[in-house]
Amino acid sequence: MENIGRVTQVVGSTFEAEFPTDRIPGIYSALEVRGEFEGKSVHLVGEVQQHLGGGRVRAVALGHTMGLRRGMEALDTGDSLKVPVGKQTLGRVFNLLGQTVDGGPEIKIEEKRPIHSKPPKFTDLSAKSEMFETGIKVIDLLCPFVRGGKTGLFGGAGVGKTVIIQELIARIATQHGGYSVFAGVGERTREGNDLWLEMQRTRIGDSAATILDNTCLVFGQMNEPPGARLRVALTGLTMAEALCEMGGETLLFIDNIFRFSQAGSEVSALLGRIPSAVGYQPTLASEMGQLQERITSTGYGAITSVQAVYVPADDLTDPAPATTFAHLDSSVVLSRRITEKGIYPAVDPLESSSRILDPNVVGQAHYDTAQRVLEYLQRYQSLQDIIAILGIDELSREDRQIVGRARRIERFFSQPFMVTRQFTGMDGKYVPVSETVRSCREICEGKWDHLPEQAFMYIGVVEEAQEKAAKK
Amino acid sequence: MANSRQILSRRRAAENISKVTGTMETISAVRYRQYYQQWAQGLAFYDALAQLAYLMVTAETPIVHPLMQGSSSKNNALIVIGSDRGLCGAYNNDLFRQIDTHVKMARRFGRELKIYAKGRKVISYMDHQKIQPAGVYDQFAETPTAVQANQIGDFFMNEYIEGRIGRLGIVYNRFFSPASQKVQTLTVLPVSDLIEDLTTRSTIIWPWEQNFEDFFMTPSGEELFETLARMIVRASILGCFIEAATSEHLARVVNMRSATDNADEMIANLTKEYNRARQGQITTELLDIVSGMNAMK
Repeated sequence: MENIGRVTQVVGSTFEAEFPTDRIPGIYSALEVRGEFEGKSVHLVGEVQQHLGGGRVRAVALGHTMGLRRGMEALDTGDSLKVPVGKQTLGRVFNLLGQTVDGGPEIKIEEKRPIHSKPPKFTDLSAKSEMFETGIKVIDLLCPFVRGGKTGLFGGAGVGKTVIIQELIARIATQHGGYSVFAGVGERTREGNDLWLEMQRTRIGDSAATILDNTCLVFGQMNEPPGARLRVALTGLTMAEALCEMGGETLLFIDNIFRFSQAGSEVSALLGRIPSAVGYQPTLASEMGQLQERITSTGYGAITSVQAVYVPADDLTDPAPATTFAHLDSSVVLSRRITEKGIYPAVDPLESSSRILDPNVVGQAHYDTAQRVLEYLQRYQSLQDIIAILGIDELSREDRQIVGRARRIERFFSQPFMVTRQFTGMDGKYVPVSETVRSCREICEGKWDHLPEQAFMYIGVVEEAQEKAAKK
Repeated sequence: MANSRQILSRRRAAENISKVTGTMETISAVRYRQYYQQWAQGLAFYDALAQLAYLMVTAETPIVHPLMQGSSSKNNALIVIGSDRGLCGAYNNDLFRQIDTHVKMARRFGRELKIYAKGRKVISYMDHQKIQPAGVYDQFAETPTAVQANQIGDFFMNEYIEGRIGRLGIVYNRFFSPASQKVQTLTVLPVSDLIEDLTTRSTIIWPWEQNFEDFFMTPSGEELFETLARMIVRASILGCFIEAATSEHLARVVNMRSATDNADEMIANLTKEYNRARQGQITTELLDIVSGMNAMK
């Protein structure tokens, strides 16, 4: 028999419903509200968040609450929201409810899974540490990605997070044998559309298959209400988990995980929770933990994930990015200071880090070079105030040499991207990590001191600086 | 907040730097004016010397004097006049480049180079380049007294006459005008090169149509020239030191002024940044309290 309650209150994107006291739907159960408003049918899914006593429950609406009225029927589905998973999801675009939104034919649903589930047991986790080459110089050298690990791209507004994530899709997914899942959380709808079209065009390696054939996209973009943005990441993750169990290695891209926290904070007050620091929900860390702990590698398969993290007001100590940091194997921090110099990707070498920048994983040569580069850049940074006031002539000879090399390295870390070719007119450059290490070591050793700094902008391996300098 | 403390400490550092550079600018401005006057007064003397020397070397009966003739010695001597202190921009760096050039040239032509250094910066540079100075002038602070300059001049003239050195050059920042100073090497010995330089640089208009033959001289021209040559060499050495000091202080005034300006700009920016951070912090805290209170209602 169906368990039906009634909507008793609607506040913003949350609502309350009343059920018989002995048949209250459980926490995280999905409620379906059906009704009619001004001749149009209203269909809304909500998720139970709180039990208020006396049969009343408070739920987050996973869609627009427009047209919702007190007295409408709320059906308890008896389980949390379920989305279709499996091979059928490949090549398609979904919303958070697991409905296709790309206008294609209906999919044959073979299996549905609840979006809430437990993270794998810690005994099941696999502890492999292997580097994942991206061909992007600064990332490979200083904050190498971990195969089967989690990477965060931190950055304020407009420093190029989305561009890097799309570049990574273009670089990794084209060579990657397994499946990919892209979750668009609260970002621009246009970007989602661009990505979808791009994926239809780009082929994997030399095969006839396009990237889209091996990818599943889930969108809950800016236009969606907070409830949708809160849960769309889980939908994407659930699909990725299922693909991972089938196909081994799976890539999960999330753009942007901050919107998940933001959506949580938008509904938190409406749910009657006392806000915590900077107005965030008091449950910020546990919400993030529940999501992040499921993105892991187990003995059955590995999920390699890349997540963009918006940093409000360029402040990395803001609670939302700060709680994300702790979960990641590798953090790539993008900085406004570097975009101002016209260097893209604007990776801040001193803020970024990786768990596997360790001689046992990347090798002694790579580790030593990375440390030397960091040392030079650190010295340059600490001399910057002196240079700004007194000028570079006042530095000692050794310092001037270090500054010169640090400035060359800084510029050498810029790199043309494949996805920005139409804007820059430069072909994307893929630099193998061994070449990156060699190039940086040579710059540190002073082999290229004679070339002008500008020659190091937007090149691949260091020898190209020579050609560039010769051309002028 | 850790960030605002950092900004404060940076601002304090910039303020201290600004004080130091501001003071250095004032001091150097005063010293510059003193040296500038000395330099300007010296000009008339040089011109007179140059006139006289020119008349003598262009005479119909050429003057034969050991200081006028080229030397067969393979040794070159170089006086390098730099500064004791830094904070004067590229003042010393340009000198160092000139030294490098001389060292390379000497090696190319198989000559021995003896460098006599003035200024701690020059000495430390040579130390770094593993060049042993043949002599160091530390008996005076910036410029030698006339007596000291004479001693230096006499020493080199002796060396020259006795064939131990074949050339003497002075590397220093030449002061052309308050708007233009440039590192150059002035050849002092043989004196013929020096006279050529003096005549081309002097600001005078030749007032006479006469030449040397028109004068009746006692003692003889050679004896007179001996005195004159010695005067020119001594005066040039003193003059170079004065010019170098003038340039140094002017360079320091210019650099310290821009440093002070830069520091002040940085202080202004950091103050803005600090105020914004502080205000932001207050707003955040207020917001936390207010929204917390509202939620408790």
